[in-house]
Amino acid sequence: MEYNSAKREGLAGAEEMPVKISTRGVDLYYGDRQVLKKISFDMGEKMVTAFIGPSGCGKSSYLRCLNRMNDFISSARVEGIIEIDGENILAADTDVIALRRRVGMVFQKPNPFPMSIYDNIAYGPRLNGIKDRGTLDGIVEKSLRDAAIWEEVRDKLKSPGTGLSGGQQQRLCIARAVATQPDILLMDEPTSALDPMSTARVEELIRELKKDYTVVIVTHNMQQAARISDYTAFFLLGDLIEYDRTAKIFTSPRDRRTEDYISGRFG
Amino acid sequence: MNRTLLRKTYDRLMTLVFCLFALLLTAVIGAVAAYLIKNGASALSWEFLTEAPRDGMLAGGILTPLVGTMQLVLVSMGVALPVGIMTGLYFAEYARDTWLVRLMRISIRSLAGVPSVIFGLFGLSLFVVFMRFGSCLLSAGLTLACLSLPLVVTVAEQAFLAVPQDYRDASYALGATKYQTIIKVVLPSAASTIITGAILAVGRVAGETAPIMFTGAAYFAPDIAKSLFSQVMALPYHIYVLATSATDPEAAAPIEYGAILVLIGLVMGTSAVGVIARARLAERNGR
Repeated sequence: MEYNSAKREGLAGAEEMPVKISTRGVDLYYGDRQVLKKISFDMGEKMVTAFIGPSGCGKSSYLRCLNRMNDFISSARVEGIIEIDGENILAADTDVIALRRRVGMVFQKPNPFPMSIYDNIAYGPRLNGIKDRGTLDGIVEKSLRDAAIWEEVRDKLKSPGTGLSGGQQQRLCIARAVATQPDILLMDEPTSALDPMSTARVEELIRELKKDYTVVIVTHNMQQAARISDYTAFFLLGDLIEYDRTAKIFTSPRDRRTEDYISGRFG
Repeated sequence: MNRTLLRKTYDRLMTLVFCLFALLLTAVIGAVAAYLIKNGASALSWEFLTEAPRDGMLAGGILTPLVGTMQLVLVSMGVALPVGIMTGLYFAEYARDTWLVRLMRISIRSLAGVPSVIFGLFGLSLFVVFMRFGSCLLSAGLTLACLSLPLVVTVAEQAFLAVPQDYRDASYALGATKYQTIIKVVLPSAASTIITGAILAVGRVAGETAPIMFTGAAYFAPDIAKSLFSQVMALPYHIYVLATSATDPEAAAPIEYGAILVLIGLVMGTSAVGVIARARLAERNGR
């Protein structure tokens, strides 16, 4: 029922894509303040979906619903349904630990652990009980290759991850996130702390990653959304204003507010 | 004199004044050290460290009090570090901001200001008398542990709070539980700060006299303590005894100064080891 109403509002977006994440009527509150209002839309499998909107619009808060990181905010309350592969992750009996192993996250500020590059990558697999050195070696190499940083660090796996440059640290964090073999990668403004060169490398990496992962990225940079995403969602003051193919959003948005935002009239 | 020159002169003058105070303090410490070395250096020898006191403590070395102090440090830290670190962990990671938690926190902070002789009397009534341990290494060690707990708890709590939230977020996002996050990320990140706190505590514990006088320190013991229930000699108490009740003060003086030098050396040596350990750890962690 709700699905249909969402579709009528033109929010369901893609018609033909295989759906990975399906959101229905999600409300999020921090205390008395409503941060998200009746969010409903579907995100496609192995696609890059970008969230854009001015600061405080709720896009990061929504992203944090997808791996239940809002659970750590004691005043946060979320209602509605978010289904990943048809399973409602907002249900009370959801195994949050298992969910987070399926839904990786990359943060705004590169945050490698104060340990060696190897141990950073092996952290997640070790949580899953993998102890065998050979298996771990394999996972570490594959993850670092997937994150396009293997060639730069292969000779210094034992040195601290915090000794790398900012851009390398962020790719290390991406490698760490893919090491648990998630299906979905959440990225919360992953390039906002990086220089243009590093940003370009990470963007290239994201385009590669969508072959294997469903990528959801929050960005303040509209050019970035246009460059790397297949679908774009525009958030404003807790509402999902418009959700469509990125090409459509950036060339002929339906909503006046979307147009104003992408043309730089506010934000 | 014009105003600019006056201002500059005044500025230089004040720099000089501050510098003089710093120098004065250094000079005082230097004078103390020089005085101790002048009076105690002649007593120092390998035999001084490896022989027990004899002839009414007017001859021989300080082996028994030296080992006794180390034993006291081991027992007290063996109790205070695990208890203190776990308490700090609770305050930093688990406790919510309720009146009960606030009360606990204030109580522990206040303990740090309690005079050490009070701890001595507390140890006497609780460990020696009530728990029937008697006057022994265990009672004295536990009393010293109580004395150092406020410091250890406070340092540990601050160390955990200083661990960036980013690390915790990253760990949780990888599917770690709270316990796994604490053991694998928070604790190692806080370790170097906690080590510094532990060393401060060792220095404090090694130098205390009042808490051990009634709880386990012996005026004289013929041998080093072989069990937790034996009395021990301890360096600070040994120095106190030599200074206040030696049968021949003249003969006791060199031993007394020598013992002071060893005690200071012990505390400073521990600090040095701690500083190095901390630097190593920080280097390995890349911070």
